[in-house]
Amino acid sequence: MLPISYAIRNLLRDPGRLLQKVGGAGIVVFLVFAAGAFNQGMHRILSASGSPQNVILLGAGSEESVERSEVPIQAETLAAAGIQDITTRLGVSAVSGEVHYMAEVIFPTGHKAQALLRGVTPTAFEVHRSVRILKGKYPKPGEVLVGKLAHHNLGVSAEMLSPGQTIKFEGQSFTVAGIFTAPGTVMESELWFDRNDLMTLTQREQLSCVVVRLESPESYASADLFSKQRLDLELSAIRESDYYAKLSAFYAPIRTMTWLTAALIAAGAIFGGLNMQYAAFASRIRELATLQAIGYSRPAIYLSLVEESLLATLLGTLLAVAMVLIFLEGQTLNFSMGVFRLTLSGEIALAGLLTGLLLGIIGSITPAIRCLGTSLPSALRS
Amino acid sequence: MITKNTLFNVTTFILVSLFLTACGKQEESTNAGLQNNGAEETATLIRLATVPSSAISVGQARKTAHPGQKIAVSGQIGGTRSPIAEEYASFVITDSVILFCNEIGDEGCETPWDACCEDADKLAEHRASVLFLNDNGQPLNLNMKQQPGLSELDYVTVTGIVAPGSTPDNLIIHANGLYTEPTKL
Repeated sequence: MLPISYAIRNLLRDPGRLLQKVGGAGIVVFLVFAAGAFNQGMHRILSASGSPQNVILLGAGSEESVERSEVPIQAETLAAAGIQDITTRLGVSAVSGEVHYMAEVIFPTGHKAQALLRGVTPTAFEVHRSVRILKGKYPKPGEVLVGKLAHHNLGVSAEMLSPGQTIKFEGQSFTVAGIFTAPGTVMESELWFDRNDLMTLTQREQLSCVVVRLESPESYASADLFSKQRLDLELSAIRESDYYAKLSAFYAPIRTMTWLTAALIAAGAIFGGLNMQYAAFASRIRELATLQAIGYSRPAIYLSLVEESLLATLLGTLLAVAMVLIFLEGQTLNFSMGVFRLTLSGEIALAGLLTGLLLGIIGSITPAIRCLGTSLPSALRS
Repeated sequence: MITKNTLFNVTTFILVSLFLTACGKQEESTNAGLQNNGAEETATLIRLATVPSSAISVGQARKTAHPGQKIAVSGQIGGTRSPIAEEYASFVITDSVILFCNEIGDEGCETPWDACCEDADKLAEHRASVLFLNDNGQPLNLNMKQQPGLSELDYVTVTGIVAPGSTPDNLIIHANGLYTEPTKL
């Protein structure tokens, strides 16, 4: 076996080439980390947004989009009376008729932004159990409750959406009454209005949906039966988790594109790395032949070459981890449904590490075999 | 020595026991119907051998039916995206005048049974909800896709009574008999 110091010394022999190897590997692994964090973040927020205990009653034919859905306002009370196994707390049934609306809001500075608005009643808190008011209070008419991450989505500072501040919607001013959190869900980037306010301003007479919280996910059949018994209401009962799973599937092509981009860049880096390694090893054919001549076996030399390559790519991986922690970790990204955070999870870290290892191994196998495949006499004369 | 009091107590005990036994027997006989059967047996119990001669179309039923009326209705399963309930013996039946997407040549439609190509008002006027109840008057737990093997667009005839809460806008049939094409069973 060749000592590891041999591999390290060889690496440092050409600092320019070392920088190229480390930088190339670092960029590829960084892209894998970024693609992984993007995919996982988007998937996680859409998965966490739907509770398996909740059922959404949407307008028939609008099962894919709650914003397009229209449900008669009486469906809320009829659902409360007609669906079995609805959760109750202090005598209040967990049934929330809601209005979902996407529209432009205007800040006092004149800044305009598209926001996801939700018109709710206090029973929304019975249905969306992860929602907690962090600051302020539940909004009265003329007030608005703001999601903790809404300012990211609207492109303003957190101060501009703090309690007491005002925003304009449809020409009317609304005072921020409070800030709520709903960890890991799309709700955190929404603005919650009093339902009557939103219905009046948007001139709606119908709800977007009725959300019902059941005692257990198995009680879904009762909600499904209700929608089939009340054909006059034109309802479709969907598990909230299924609704968001469908949304997640809708974004699948975007997620695939991020992986594809990372894979294409990785492939380019591998070919570039192979080229570089061929050149690097080819210039050392005589040196490697000498090592064979003084008694080192070909497998031992091969192992040393792989070690050398792995050292470079793992250094690149380390560099990528540092870049991720500095530039990506905790960053928020907007998409049409809300805002999600990029985090370096265990799975993504493992994927990055494996990429670094593969880059090192694949990048050195063929150049090493090529160099060591030459017969010893001709290699010594080359 | 048997006192009057003892005699009264014994008589009361015997009478109460007899009353309770009788109640128990009645309960047993009530449950011996649809509720306690397996899915296959239940499906057999509701199955009709022949098409009821009095069967009318869904559209006709929507115009003439009133709560409590005995009725037999023919139509096709469909009219919504998922017309057959998951765990209860219930489905949506649609009049044959409704054209489903496959009937108008839209072969690309993944859910032709929802009649999404049809006029929405016409569809709303030609649908009814069918629900099979057990002997206790509760929705019957039966996945009708599994037993008796119903699927969307099947031609069926159901017999039963018009549900008490049924309205002209929302016809609900509490069914007790089902006929489907022989090839479907």
